Amino acid sequence: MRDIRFLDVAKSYGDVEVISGLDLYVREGEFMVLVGPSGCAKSTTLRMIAGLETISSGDLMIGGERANHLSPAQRNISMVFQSYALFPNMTVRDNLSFGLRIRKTDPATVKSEVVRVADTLGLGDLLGRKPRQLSGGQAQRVALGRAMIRRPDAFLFDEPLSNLDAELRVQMRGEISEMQRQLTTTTVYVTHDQVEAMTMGDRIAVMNQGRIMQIGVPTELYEQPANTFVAGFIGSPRMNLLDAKDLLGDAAATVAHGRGSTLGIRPEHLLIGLTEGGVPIGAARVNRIEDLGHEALLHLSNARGAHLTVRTSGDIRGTVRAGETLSLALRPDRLHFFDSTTGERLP
Amino acid sequence: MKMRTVLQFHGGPGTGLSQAWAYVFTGAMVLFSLFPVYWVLTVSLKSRRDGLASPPLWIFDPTTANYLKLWSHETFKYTFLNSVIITAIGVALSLAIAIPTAYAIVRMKIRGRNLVGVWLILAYMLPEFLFVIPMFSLYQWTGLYDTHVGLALMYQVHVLPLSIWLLSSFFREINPAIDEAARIEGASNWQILTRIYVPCTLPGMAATAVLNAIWIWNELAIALGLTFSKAQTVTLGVTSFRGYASLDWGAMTAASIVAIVPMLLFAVAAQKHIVKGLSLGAVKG
Repeated sequence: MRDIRFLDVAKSYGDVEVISGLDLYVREGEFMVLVGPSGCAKSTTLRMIAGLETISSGDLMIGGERANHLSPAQRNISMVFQSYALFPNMTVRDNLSFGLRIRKTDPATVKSEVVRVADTLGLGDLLGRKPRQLSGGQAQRVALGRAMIRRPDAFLFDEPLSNLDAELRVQMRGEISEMQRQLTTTTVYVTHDQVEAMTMGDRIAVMNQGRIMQIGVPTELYEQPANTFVAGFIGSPRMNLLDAKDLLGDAAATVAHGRGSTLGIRPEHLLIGLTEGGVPIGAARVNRIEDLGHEALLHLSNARGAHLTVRTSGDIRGTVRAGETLSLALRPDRLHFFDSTTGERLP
Repeated sequence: MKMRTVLQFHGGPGTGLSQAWAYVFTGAMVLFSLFPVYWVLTVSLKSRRDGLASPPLWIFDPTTANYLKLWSHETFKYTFLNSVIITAIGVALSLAIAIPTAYAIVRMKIRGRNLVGVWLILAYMLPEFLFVIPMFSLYQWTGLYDTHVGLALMYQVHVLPLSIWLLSSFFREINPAIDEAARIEGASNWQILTRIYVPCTLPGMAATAVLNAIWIWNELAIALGLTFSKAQTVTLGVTSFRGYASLDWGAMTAASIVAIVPMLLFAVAAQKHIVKGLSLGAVKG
C-alpha cells in the first residue's frame, strides 16, 4: 500500500489545458472518490495515476517516488474500467490470472491465487466461462477479481458501476466498499454519481473544469460546501441557491446580516407552514409535486419569482395540490452564505 | 440488421414486384459470371473433335481423357506445386507483416500514421505490372529472379495494403480499454497483440488469408515477368498447353478447372469466416 500525491500537475492536449495546478493527496489505505460532472477531467486524473495519460507538467508521486515516467506495469496498480474490459477470448480463470501469468508467477501460486479470489467474490462456478456468457454483475466481479489478485499498491476505479442496473449498483457499491475496507488498499474511485461518492468515500474530491473545488469527508461537503458549485453538486435534490432578496424579501437584512448576497438552503431545510424555530419567508405557489412515496418534492415559486424546491414527508399526499399557495419558513441555522461574485463560501 | 436490408434491396418484404426484379437481376448476374466457367468445364470434358465442333455441341459424350493427360503433364504438375508453395509463403508473409502493422496503425500514437493510410490506398490502386519492369532488373541482379521466395515477396507486397486495411478495421472493433487493462496488468504491445488481438479476430484473419491466397493464386502478370521456368505458377502452367502452332484446348480447359479447384475449396471451407470477418467491421451490434 502506498500513498498517491499530485504536486501542481497540469495536463493539456495540444493547446487545450484540461487540468491545471492540481494538488491532491490520497493517503495510504484511503478510499478517495473523485466526483464531478462529465468533462471535469476526473477520469483524466485517474488515468494519469494509472500511467495511461502522460503528465504535461508537475509531479505525480506514488509511495514517495516520482512516477511520471513509469509505465503502467511498473506502477503496480490495478484498474477497474466502466466497460469491465475483460479479455473476450479468455475464460474467467484466464482473465483473473492474466497479470500473474504475464509477470511469470509460478503456476502453483497462480492456481491457488485464482481459487482464493474466486472464493472471495463467489466466482467459483464461472471460472470456465467466457466474458460474453456473464451477466453485467458477474463481469463486474471478474473485473474486481482481476484487480485484486495481484495485491496491488492501489486500486483505481473508473465509473465501474455505470453499466449496472439500479439494484445491482447498490449491491456492488456495498461489495466494493467492503472489499476495500478488508484489504485496506489505497483506492481512487471516479464517479459522476454523488450517491456513490457520499456512501463509499472516506474522502471526496469534487472536481469541475479540471480543478478541485473541495476535498473533504462526505458530511463536510454536505454541511459546509466550500463554494456554490459543491453546494449545488452534492445533495439530491440540489441545494436551493438564490439571491438573498429573492428568497427573503424584507427579512433579508435581518437573517443574512448583510453577509453576502447568494444564499443556499437545502430542500429539507425549507419548512411548510409555521413551525417552531422557523423564520417565515412568505408565501409560494406550488408548481409541481414529485411524489416519491416516502417523500415528496415540491417545486414552488414565490412572489419575487424565485424557484424553490422543498423536500417533505410523503405524508402530505392529498393535502397539497399544484396551484395552491403555501406559506414557507426556513431554519436560519441551516443557511449557507456565498460571495455572489466568486461563489466562495462566506464564514 | 444492415445486411438484411441490403439483401432485400429497396422496400420491405411486402413489395413483391421489386423483389421479383431483384431475383431476375441477380439471376442474370450469376449466369453472366458462371457461364464462362461452365463453358470451360464442358470443353474440358469433350473429346478433341467435339470440342472443336461448330456450331458448339450442347450434348456430347463426356470424357476424362483431358484430365488424365494433365496427370502425366510434368510442367503442369510442377507449376501447380509451385503455386501451392508460393501462395503459402506469400500469405504467411503478408499476415506476419500486416498484423503488427495494423495494430500499430490502430492503437499506437505514431507520427505519420495517417500518411501510411494514404500510401495504403495509393499502393492498392497502382497496377501490378507497373512494378514488374523495374523489379525484373532488380531481381536479376539480386538472384531473386525465377525463385519461389522472390515471387512470394513480390506478392505479399501487393496484398499488404488490403490486408492491413482489413485487419485494421477488425482491430478497431476491439474496445481500447482492453489494451489499457492489459497494459496495466503488465502486458507489452507484442503480448497484447498475440494474446488478445489475434485470438479475438480469428475470423478476420481467416478472411484476410483467403482473400490474399485467391489473389496470389490467380495472379498472372507478375509471374509472367519475374519467372522463367523454375518458379512458374499454375496460371502460367495453364498457358503451357498453347504450342507453337497448335492449341490443346481440351488439356488447357482441364488445367483451368483444376487450377480453380483449390481456391474454390478454400473459399467454401472458409466462407463462414469470410462473411463473419468481412461483416465484423460493417455491422455493429
